[in-house]
Amino acid sequence: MTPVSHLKKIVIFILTSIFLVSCSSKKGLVYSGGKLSTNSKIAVIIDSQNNIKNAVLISFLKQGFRVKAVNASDLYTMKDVYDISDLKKLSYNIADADVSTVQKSYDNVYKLHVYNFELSKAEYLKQIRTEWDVEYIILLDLKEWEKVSWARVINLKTFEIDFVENYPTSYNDNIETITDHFIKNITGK
Amino acid sequence: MKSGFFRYIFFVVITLTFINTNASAESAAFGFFINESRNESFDYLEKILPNSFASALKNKYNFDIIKPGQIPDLSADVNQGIKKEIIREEDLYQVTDDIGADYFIYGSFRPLEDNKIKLTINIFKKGTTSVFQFQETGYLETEIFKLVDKIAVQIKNIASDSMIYKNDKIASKSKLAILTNIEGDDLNSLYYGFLTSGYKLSPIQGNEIYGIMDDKQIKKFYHFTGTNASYHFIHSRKDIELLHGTWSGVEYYKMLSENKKAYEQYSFNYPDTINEMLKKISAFNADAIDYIVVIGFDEDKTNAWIRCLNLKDNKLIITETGITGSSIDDITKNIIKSMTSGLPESL
Repeated sequence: MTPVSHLKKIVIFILTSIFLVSCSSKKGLVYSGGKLSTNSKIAVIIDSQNNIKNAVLISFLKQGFRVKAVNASDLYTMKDVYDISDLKKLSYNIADADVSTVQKSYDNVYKLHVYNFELSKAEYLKQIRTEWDVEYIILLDLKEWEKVSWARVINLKTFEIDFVENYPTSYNDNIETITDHFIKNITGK
Repeated sequence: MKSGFFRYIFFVVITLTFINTNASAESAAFGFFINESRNESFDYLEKILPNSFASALKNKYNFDIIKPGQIPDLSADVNQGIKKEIIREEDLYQVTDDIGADYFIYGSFRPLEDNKIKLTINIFKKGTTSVFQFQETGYLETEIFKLVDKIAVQIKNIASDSMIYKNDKIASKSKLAILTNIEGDDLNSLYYGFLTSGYKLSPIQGNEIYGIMDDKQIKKFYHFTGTNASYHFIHSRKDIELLHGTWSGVEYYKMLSENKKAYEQYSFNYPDTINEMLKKISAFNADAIDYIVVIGFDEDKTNAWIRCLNLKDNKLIITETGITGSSIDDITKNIIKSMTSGLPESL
C-alpha cells in the first residue's frame, strides 16, 4: 500500500467517524408510565406556525383525541402573542422596576422569585384542568433532520410527568410522521 | 530491559499516588463548642467535642489538625461579664487570618431530654465568604462515640471540593420537583433517568417548551437553606449603613424602612422567609411533591451539582458538587447514585 492511499484511508476513517458521531450524538429514548386512551381530553402545546400546528392537531383529532383549544384559539403563534420564552425571561430575571437595589443584592430574593413563579404556573395548570377540563398536557417540539424532536406528557389528574420521548428526526420524516410516531408511543397503538 | 521499564512505570505510579494523597490531605483548625444551656455540668464538652472531632479526622481521614488549645484565644465578653468563646460569622475572616488551616470548624451544643444532645457545627473554608452549617442530634455517654464518628464523616465530606452533605437517602417512588437549567430533549434525558429509576416527577419547570434558566441563574441556588443545615453567605449587620439625620425626609424614611425590612427578610431572617414560601408550595397540593431537587449544570453540561430539600419538614437532605459524566444520561445516573447511597466513608 502506498503512503498516499494509506493517508486516504485514514482521512476517510476520520471523516466517517466524525459523521457517525455527529449523527448519533443524541440517541432516542422513551419512557411511558401508562398508555393514554385515544378519547382523552388533551391540550397540545407546540410552538410553531399555525399551518404546522394544524397538521399536528389533525393527527391527534384523527385518532379520536378530544383536543381542547388551549394554545390553538388564536390566529397568531405562541411566540407572537404569548411568548413563553420572554415570559420566562421576565419571570426569571428580576426586572429593575420590581425590586430595590438592596433586594437585588441577595441571591435569596431570586430564589423566592423562582419559587413564586413556579407556584403560579402550578396554579395555572390546576386552572387548565378545572376550567378547560383538560386531562393531559402534551408538549411537542418538532425538529428537522439530524436534530432531536421531543414529546412530554403531563397528567393533570396526578400532577405527574407520565411520558417522555426523545426522537432523533430521520431524513425521511415530516411533521405528520413525527407526530404519528409520538401518538403511537403515547397511546401504545 | 522490559522489566526495567515496567519497574520505572510502577515507581512513577506509586510516587504520583503518594504525592496525590499528600496533596489531598485537608487541614482544619477547631474552635471550642459552646454550651448553649445554663447547665454548667456540660461545660466539659466544650473542649472534649472539638478535640474528639479533630482526633477522628486526623486518625481516620489523614487531616492536618489544629486543636482548640493551639489557636489564639477567641473568647469575648458576653452578658454579665461571662467570658465565652463566642464566634460570630462576621468575625470569621479576622479570626482565621492567622490560623494556618484550610478550614475552621466551630459550633455549639444544647443538652436535650432523655440524655440527648443537639450539636450545631459550622465549617468555614478560608478565603470564601460562606459557611456550611449543620445540626446533628444523638445520645450522650457511651453513644457519644457514635455521634462523634457520624459528625467526623460529615465534616470530612463537607470539607472537600465536592462539599458532600447527606442527611438521608431518597427512595425511589418519591415524588420530586426538579429545578434545573437544561431544557427540551436534554431535560427529557434527565427526566428519563429518574423515571426509569422509579421516581415520580412533578411537572414543575417541565411544563413548558422552553426553559430559560441559565447556568448563572441556577447558581443562585448553590447556597441553600434547610431547617437542619445550610450553606449560606456570611451577612454582617456591620456592613449595612442606614444613615439618617435631620436632613431625612418622609420619603427617605420610607425607603429606609423598606430596606431594613429587606435585610431582615432576605438575609438575617431568611430561614423564616424561605420556610413560609415552602409552606405555600406544600399547601398547594400536599401530596404533589416530596422533595425539591435543584440540579445545576455547567455551560458544557459535563459537570453538575445538586441540592435536595425534603418538603415535608424543609430539611436539607443532600448537597454535592462536581458530579461529572460524559452526557446528561451519565450525569443523571451519577446523581441518582449519590441520592440513593450514604456518605463516602473514605477519600
